[in-house]
Amino acid sequence: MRDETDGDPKLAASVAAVWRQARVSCPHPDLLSSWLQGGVDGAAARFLAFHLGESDCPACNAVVEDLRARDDCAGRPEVDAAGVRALRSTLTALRSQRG
Amino acid sequence: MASSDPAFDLPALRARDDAAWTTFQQAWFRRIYFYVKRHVADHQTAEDLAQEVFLGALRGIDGYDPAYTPEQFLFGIARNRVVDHLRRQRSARVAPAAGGDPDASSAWIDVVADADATRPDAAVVQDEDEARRRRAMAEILRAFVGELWEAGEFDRLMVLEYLFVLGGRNKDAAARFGIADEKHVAGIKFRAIEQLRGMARQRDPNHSLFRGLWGPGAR
Repeated sequence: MRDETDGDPKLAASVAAVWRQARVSCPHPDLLSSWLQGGVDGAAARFLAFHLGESDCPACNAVVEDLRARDDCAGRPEVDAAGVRALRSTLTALRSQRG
Repeated sequence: MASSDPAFDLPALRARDDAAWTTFQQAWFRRIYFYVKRHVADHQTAEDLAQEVFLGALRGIDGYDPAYTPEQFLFGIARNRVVDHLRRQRSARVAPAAGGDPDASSAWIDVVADADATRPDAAVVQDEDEARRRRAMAEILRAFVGELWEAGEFDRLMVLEYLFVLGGRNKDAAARFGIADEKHVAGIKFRAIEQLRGMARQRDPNHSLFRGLWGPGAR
């Protein structure tokens, strides 16, 4: 941070990368849940819409998609089934590592 | 930053405890799946990649850096798996994402490539100075943004995310956010940078992290 980010493209890139990677502006999933239910308004709602839309935060969008899927009547059973298969795979790898 | 997540029992995970891994994976699988699914064409590929993320977590858990949260650890691995997948797709000249713009996916690879070099599971092998600097920068940014959250300054936060993360220009920010004068945007940015600079100095008493802050001519 030796100068304005405008003057140092490498620094600007690292600030952007760290901001995204460390999820410094990502809201808590509970707030995203409230927002989905219409419980957030004003500037906070504008920020959440920006963060999910224009800023296109991949991690928060994943949280929102998960919350929406859970609210669906169907609940996306194929995802739960995938989770079961993936867990089986992890447990097999675990046992293999333990010998 | 020690994790207080009850689904993340690090000693038990490192001990390859079945119950700990079951709890951990059940807590996070759906979010990782939906993260991956945003970038790939079909359910089966998303399932395969999400599964690889947890196998990667299993391989990387011994080198897990507690400075990162479990979600940063997992999303970092997920990002890496998606980037690898999209690179393979690109080299095979296959359209990367259903309904998406192939160029957008390629651009996304380029955007995340730099961030990916510092993913948590690779932290153990990267240059320690750079790792410390990034960790400090994350703490500074988190504290800075936390103050904006607490003060309810969401409009300002939005402008700063637009400038710092999306790389928007002052002029465009003024137009985008209905700010009358781009000098006002420049002022928002200047004050933010000054505050971040001050926070960085406080975290760098030995002048070893952000050397540019202490050199001749530094403000």
